[in-house]
Amino acid sequence: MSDSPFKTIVYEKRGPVAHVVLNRPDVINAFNIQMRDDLSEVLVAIKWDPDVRAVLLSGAGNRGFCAGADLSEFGSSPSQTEARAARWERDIFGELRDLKIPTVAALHGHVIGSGVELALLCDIRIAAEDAVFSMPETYYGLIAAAGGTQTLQRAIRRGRALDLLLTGKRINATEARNASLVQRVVASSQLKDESERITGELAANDPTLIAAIKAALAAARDLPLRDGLARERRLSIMLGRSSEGI
Amino acid sequence: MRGLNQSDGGNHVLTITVGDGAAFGEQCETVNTDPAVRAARILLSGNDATQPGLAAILATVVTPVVAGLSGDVDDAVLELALSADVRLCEAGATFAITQPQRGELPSDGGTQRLPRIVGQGLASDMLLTGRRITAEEALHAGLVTEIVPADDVPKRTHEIATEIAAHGQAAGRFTKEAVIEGADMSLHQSLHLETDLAILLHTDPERSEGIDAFNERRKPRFRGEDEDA
Repeated sequence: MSDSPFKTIVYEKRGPVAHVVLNRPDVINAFNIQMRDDLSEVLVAIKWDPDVRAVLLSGAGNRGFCAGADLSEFGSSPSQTEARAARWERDIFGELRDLKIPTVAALHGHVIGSGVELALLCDIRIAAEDAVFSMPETYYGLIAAAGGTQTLQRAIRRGRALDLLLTGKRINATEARNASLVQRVVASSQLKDESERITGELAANDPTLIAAIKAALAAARDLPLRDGLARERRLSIMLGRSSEGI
Repeated sequence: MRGLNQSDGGNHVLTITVGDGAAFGEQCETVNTDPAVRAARILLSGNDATQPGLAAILATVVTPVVAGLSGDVDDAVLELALSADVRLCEAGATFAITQPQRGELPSDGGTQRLPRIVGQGLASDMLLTGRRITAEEALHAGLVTEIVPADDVPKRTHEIATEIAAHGQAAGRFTKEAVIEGADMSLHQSLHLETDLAILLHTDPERSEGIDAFNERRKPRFRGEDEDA
C-alpha cells in the first residue's frame, strides 16, 4: 500500500470492494485541498469502474477517522467567486452522494466537522465504541459547508441537528446511534472486520437492484410523496419486477 | 435572566433565551438590533406564552433561540417551543397537543413544525389522540436534546445560550437559516443554499478571526469587548 499514487489517501481494490482510506494520520486525517483532489480522482474512477460494487471509507491511524477541515489552508482562495467556482468544479461531496453502489463509512476516534459530513454522504455508518462526533464550525466563525447543514438534519432531524451545529457539543458512539447519526456501533477491535464484512455483503448484491433502491431513497428524500411513488413504480417496472400494470 | 418565564397557573414554565449575543436577559440586550428580536421581546415581555401568534413571531428571529421547558408543555406553549432551535426540559416535563380534543386545530405551527421535528408517526399520534409524552420520549424523538433536574432549567438554558453566543454570530445565524430554509428544499437545492451562505461568510471578520485562532491554537476573540479578556 506504500506505492499509493495519492498523497493523502490510500485506494485499493480488493475483489468488488473499493477501499478508500483517508491517510494523513499525523493530523487525524484532516481534510485538505490535496485530499479533495485525490478523492475527486478516486471517486470518478470508482464511478466508471464496473468491477467496483461497494465502497468502504475509513481513516488511517489510531486517533480518528477525520478531524475535520484543515483550517491552515482556509483563506487561501483568491476571491469569493473563485472559491464558489472551485466548490462546484470538483464536487466530491456530490460525487460520493450520487454513487450508484453502496457506500459504508467505518468511523473511529475523532469524527469532527467535515469528517461527520463525509460520513453523512455514505449509505451506512458504522462506529467504533471509541468514536466521538462533533460539528465545531460555528465555534470558529464558520458554517458547515460539506453538506452538513442539510445532510445532518435529514439523518437525525432538525432539533438534534441544530443542537449539534449551534453548540458544537460532542456526542459519543452510543448517543450517535440513538440519534441515528450512525446505524451500528461495534467494539473498536471489531470495526475493521465488521465494516469489511458488511461492505462485502453489500457488494454481493445485484447492482441494478441496489442502484434502484438508492434512486428510490433519493426520491423519498427530495420529492413530494406522489412523485416519489411514481418514481418507485417506474424503477420497479424498469427492473421488470412489478407484478402490476402501468 | 428574565425571558419568558411563566405560564398559566404556574403549571407551564417556559424560559426562552436568544443566543448569539441577543438574549432576552440583561446579558446581551444592548448589542442586539435585530427588529425581530425586539418584536419578540415586546411580545414575550407580556409573559403569556399562550398569546396567539407568538410562535410565528419567534420563528422570524434570525438568531439562534434556546428554550428551557418545564411542567406541562401543551398546545400554544409547545407550539412556541417548536419555533426555538435548541430545546431542553426538566425530567418531569410532559408534552401534549390537546386542542383537537376540544375541537380546535393547532394554528401556530403545531401541525407543521411538530412532524418536522419529531417525525410523522409521533406527530400523528400526539395530534390525533392527544397523547401526552414524557421527557424521556421527547428526548428519544429529538423534541428536546437534553433533560436536566427541574431546578437547573434556567441555569442550563442560559449556559447553552451563552455557549452559542460565544461562537461566530453570522456563522450561527447562517447555520440556522441553512437548516430551516434548506429543510423544505431538495438536497441538491439545499446544498447550493449552504454553499452560497458559506461563501458569503467569507466576508465576515469573525470567520477570519476564527481561522487565525485555530491556527494559533487559541480561543477565538469574536466580540470587541472580549478582546482584553
